[in-house]
Parts: sequence; structure tokens; C-alpha cells
Amino acid sequence: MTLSTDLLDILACPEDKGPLYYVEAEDLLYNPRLQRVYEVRDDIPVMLIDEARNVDTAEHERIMGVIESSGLTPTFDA
Amino acid sequence: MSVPAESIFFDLWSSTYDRPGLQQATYRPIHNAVLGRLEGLEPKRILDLGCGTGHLAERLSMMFPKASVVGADLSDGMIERAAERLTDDDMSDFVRADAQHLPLRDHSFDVVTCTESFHWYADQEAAAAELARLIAPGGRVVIASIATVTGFADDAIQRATALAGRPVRAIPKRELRRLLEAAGFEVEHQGRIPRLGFVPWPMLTDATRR
Repeated sequence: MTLSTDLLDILACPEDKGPLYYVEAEDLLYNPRLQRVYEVRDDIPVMLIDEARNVDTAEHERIMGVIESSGLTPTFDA
Repeated sequence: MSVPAESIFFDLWSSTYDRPGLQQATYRPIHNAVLGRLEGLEPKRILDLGCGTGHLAERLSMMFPKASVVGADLSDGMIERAAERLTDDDMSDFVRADAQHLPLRDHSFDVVTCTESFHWYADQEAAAAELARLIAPGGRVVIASIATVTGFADDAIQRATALAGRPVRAIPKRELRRLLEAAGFEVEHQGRIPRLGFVPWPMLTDATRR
């Protein structure tokens, strides 16, 4: 199951409150500004700063590559 | 990557939380009181903060079929049970979130409900500021929380629950009013919610975002 558009329209990073990219194929929400991954577990976004994962530059570039090649847009326009 | 202690506490609680007797006796009167405050409104987006196993979110979806309802809770156990029951019907969406750092866009909600939850927050000012940020001007927040018996922060409830390892930060009525007003709300109503057999009675606070 995929996250609903109703929810995605308003989902933001709990830290900087900016928009996220939903990478459905990898069950994650990505904040490129903080290079931070929030996981979606059992269809529930885990939007806790303590449980998020910061990624290095190589991983950031890989995720941004997936976002660009899949034509993903952010959850909302900042 | 640490799991917050409070999250584990509620995960354990979630297994007994849904017992019909407990729901009926403790939560139903509170949910009735909260829903009563929302009659006549036509919200587009509703957040149930501290949604537990999703009973109020479910009732909100039924009362406002056109609205999008989001349930947020810190606890994995609570949210899983809510999602198991409700997402198959597309009734509501659920997220794990911390009330002091909400993962939601500015001004995105017309109504936020918060029952039996506010008195757990370690930083209640931060939670009030988050509510003010995500509620659109003119939007409402309805909070049902445990009021202190004496009005003093370190009263019997807090001392007893602190001994159990999980302090309830029961907030005096006037203090919650002050907190919400400082965050940008106009308090419309404050009163007790009577329920049988349980002391303390919860307090209902209804406020509008300026």
C-alpha cells in the first residue's frame, strides 16, 4: 500500500518543517536539505528525529538520482 | 537511533488499551465531549494528536466524512493497532510523531484534537507552539487533559506517577489557558468532563487560532 496523497500533501520534516520526497520504491521519505531519511514501516511514516538516519554524500547523490530518474516531486511547494 | 523510553511505555500499554470496558468507561465520555465542541464545523483537515489506537480518529472520520483525518502518536504499538483497524477502509492516515516536533506543514489543519495526551509532554510550551504553527488562522484545537487537583505543579498526581517512572505533567487550568494564549490562541471554553468512578476528572479546553 502506498501513502495517501492527502497525507503526502502536508507531510514535512519534523526538524526544518520543509517538504520531503517520498521514495515509494524504498519506503522512505527524504529531506535533501538535512540529508536525512525517515523510514516508512508497515505503511506508517516514522517521523521521529531520534529514529531518522543521516546519510553521507554518496548516499545523498544516489537517492537524488532515484528522485530525478523517477521524476518525483516534493510533498509540497515550500 | 535510540527508541525513546516513553515510546516503549506506551507500546506495552497498547496491548491492554483496547479492552472494551476501559475504552467505554474512560475514553468514550471524553471523546463525546470533544466531538460535541466540533458540531457545526466543516473542517477539511483534522489532526488527532496522541491518537492511541485510533478510536477518536475513527469517530472524527464518521462525523466529518469529507475531511481528511490524520492520527499521530509517538508509540509504535498504538499506531500499529490504529492502522490495522482503520487504514484498510481508507478512513484515516497515521504517522508516528512527537508532539514537540510535528512533521506537518504550516497552517495545514482546521481542527486538532488532543485527548489524554497533553499531560504527557515534557515541553508543553513547545507543543503549544507546534499547534499554533500547524493550525490555520481561525482553526480550532480541543484539548482534553488531566487537570491538577491542587493547582500546584508538584501535586499528588505528578508525585505518584513519577514514582511509577512516568510523570504525568498535569497542567492547571489557568496555566493551560496562559500557555495557549501565549502561543497565539483565544481560549473559548474550559470546563470539566464528568465521568463515573474516575478521579481526577479530565478538563476540556477549546481554543481558536488567532
